[in-house]
Amino acid sequence: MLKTVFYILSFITVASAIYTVTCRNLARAVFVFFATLFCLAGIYVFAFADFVAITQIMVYVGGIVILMLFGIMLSNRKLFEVLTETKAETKLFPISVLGGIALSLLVFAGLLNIIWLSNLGELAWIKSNIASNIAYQGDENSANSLGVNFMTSYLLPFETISVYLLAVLIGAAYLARRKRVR
Amino acid sequence: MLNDIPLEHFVIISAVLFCAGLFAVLTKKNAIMVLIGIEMMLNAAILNLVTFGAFDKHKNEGQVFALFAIVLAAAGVAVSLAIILNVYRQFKTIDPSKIEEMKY
Repeated sequence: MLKTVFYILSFITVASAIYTVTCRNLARAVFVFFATLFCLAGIYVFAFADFVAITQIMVYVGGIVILMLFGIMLSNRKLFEVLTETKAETKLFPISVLGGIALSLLVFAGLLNIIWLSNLGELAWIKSNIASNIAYQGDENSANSLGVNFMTSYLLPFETISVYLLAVLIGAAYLARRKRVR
Repeated sequence: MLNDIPLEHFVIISAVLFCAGLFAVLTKKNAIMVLIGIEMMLNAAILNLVTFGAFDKHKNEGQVFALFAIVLAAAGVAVSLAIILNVYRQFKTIDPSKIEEMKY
């Protein structure tokens, strides 16, 4: 049952990711990217990362995708017409796209080869962690452990990243403002 | 393993996402699609962090760094969209191959 759900989720993730990068209409691509991120959050739950999944939904799906849609639709209409790429070339495989496909397939083959060579299920540290009961079993409270870690071992990165996020958001608002005509 | 799902399957999903993002970055003709490609690659990395993080429930390094990566990606998108809007105002196009100067 769980495995079926996992494979359905992963199928939707992969299919919508590929559709996102191949379709020409930008608004539709953003909506399908939304589906990719949402299903990815579901996959995180299968890796026992509940809190990360919720963060993914709130920050990415709730924030980034809405931000992109606002960015596309609140900017002027001419930009939106440029984006749909209707007048793009009709050739199915122009040379640049062919190069991109070749390079990404090459990288994919390399990654698969590395995954196959590394034999992930048999890694020593994973085996020892399972044996000494450090790996997640499924009944833990991961948010609790994450909170304790954030307030002890990772306090400095946590503070840094919050200040950084504030600075970045102010900077983005500054950059996106409408400038006075000189 | 994780609910009897082999670890390789998570990593293969991550590899597919990474290559889809790479394809978008290499071939797309507008900057927002390139941005989506970058986000997809970041998500592939986050999936790997989360997957391997499931084997250490005391230090939780994988999940902690996944959260940091999500926040960094959010910050990156906010700034990049502002930059893309400015680029459009300046050059009247957001095709990355047609933008060749940083003059302001």
